[in-house]
Parts: sequence; C-alpha cells; structure tokens
Amino acid sequence: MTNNKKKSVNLILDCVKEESKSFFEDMLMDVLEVEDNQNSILYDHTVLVFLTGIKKFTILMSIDNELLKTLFDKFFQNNISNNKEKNELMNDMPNEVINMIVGLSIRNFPLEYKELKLSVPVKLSKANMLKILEKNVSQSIKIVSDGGSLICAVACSSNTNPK
Amino acid sequence: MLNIMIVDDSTIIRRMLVIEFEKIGYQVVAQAKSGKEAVAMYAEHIPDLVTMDITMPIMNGIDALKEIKKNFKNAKVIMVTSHGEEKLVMEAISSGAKGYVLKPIKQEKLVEVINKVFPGLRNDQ
Repeated sequence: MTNNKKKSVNLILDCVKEESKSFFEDMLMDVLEVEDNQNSILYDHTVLVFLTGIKKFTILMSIDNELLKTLFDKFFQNNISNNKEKNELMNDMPNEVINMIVGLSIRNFPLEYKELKLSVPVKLSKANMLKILEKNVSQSIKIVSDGGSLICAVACSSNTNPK
Repeated sequence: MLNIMIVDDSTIIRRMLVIEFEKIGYQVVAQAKSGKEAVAMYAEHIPDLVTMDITMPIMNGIDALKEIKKNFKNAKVIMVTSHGEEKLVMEAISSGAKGYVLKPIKQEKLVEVINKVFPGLRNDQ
C-alpha cells in the first residue's frame, strides 16, 4: 500500500515539477537547480490544494520572499503604486501560482488521475502543513531559479487532514 | 469600445486583466469574485464581453456561464483558466463560451481571442 502511494506521489510530483519548470520559462526565469527538499522546509508564503477522487493528494507550494517579489514585478511591472493594493496582491500571489502550475500539470497526469478534482487554494499554518507532509506518504523538491526559490510537495493518503 | 466584465476569484488575475484591457482601450465595467456574483452582475451591467475563470467558490465558471446564457442567449463569454484540461474547456465551449485563454495571460493571446469573438473589431497591440 505504501509503495503504491510512494509511486503515485512521485508520479504527481514529476508532473508538477515539469509544469513548474515551464512556468519559470514562461516568466523568463532560469532554473538553476532542482533538488530534494529533504529537510522539509517551508517558506513563509505557502499554500496547498487538494486533489480528490480515486486517491487523495495534497499539493503544497511554498515561495520565498525573493521569488514573491520577482513574480510580482513580472506580473505587474510598475502598474501598481498603491501600497495597500500591492500587499493584497502579494498575499494572493502564492494562490495564483499554485492554481496555474497544478491546473496545467493535470494535463500530464497518468490517465487514472486525470479525473481528480482540484480544490481552491487553502492556507493553513506552517505547522499544520508540515504535519500533512510528516503524517502521510510525501515527497518534496526545491526549485531554485535566478529569481528565487519554490518548494513543491505532494502528499498522498486516504486522509490528508492535518488533525 | 467594449465594456468588459471580469470574473475570477483571484485578485491578481482580476487586476492583471484590468491593466491589459486598459492598455487595449476597453472599459472594465464590473468585476465578480464568484460565479454567483457574475450571474447577478451580468444582469445589472449587460457587458459586451465576459472573461470567466473556471474554478471558483460558490459557483464555478461553467455553471455561471450556463446560467447567464439561459437568460442572455447572446452573451459573449471567454474562459480564462489555469486548467489545461481538455474536458472542462470543451464543456465550456459546448455550453456557449466563445473561446478560452490560458493563464499566465499573454496580451497577444487575449487580443487574438477577442478578435475572433468580435471579428469586425481589430485590435492592434
């Protein structure tokens, strides 16, 4: 059972990894390194989505401050001068990144997972997000670009509730 | 000049689209954060064009599209979506959407789709 889950997690993570790399390319950013996130660190800007269906997956994306700023500048250039609006948009950025990347990665999922339903992004406490990774079969990678770093993690369980 | 309604639960996408439409010279007359809001706002503003996200809370974009088309058969809606998944886009098209644009949004693609919906209205970037 665990081996099956490990295989599933790796399959999904591979799809998300490839789509993340395409995302960086689209943003005209260079991917410098992709490595296992063995220490299971998460940055301050982390969100997750659930994929539910024949299996339940949780996909986390975690963005560091540098990447957050880089993406904001690329999306909006100098079009936002109001600080309040800027903060609101920055706060929403991780949601948008996970929606884009995971949404597009579904195209390349194995056939049996193409029918999985994608939830809206959810923000939990860092502690609860780490609990999800610890309590379930999971795998995590870090993608380092010339504009900042992104951590992607996938967890699989019959129950990915952090409680 | 086209009057546009933007429907997306993402503040970022709504803001990006406002900026892009202003650059092209269109007016954003309404913004909705859910399909349910979109249905109500469409009736209030009757925009020339709607950009509609697919995955939204309360009511998704496809259900909102169907609801709008029920009462406004000539409504012109294009889906702006992060889902590359064929099935959802095809369902939207068969429900009456005029086209779709994938996120991250590129202005040239947005203009291309709008030109197809309004063939008499050429937009140059």
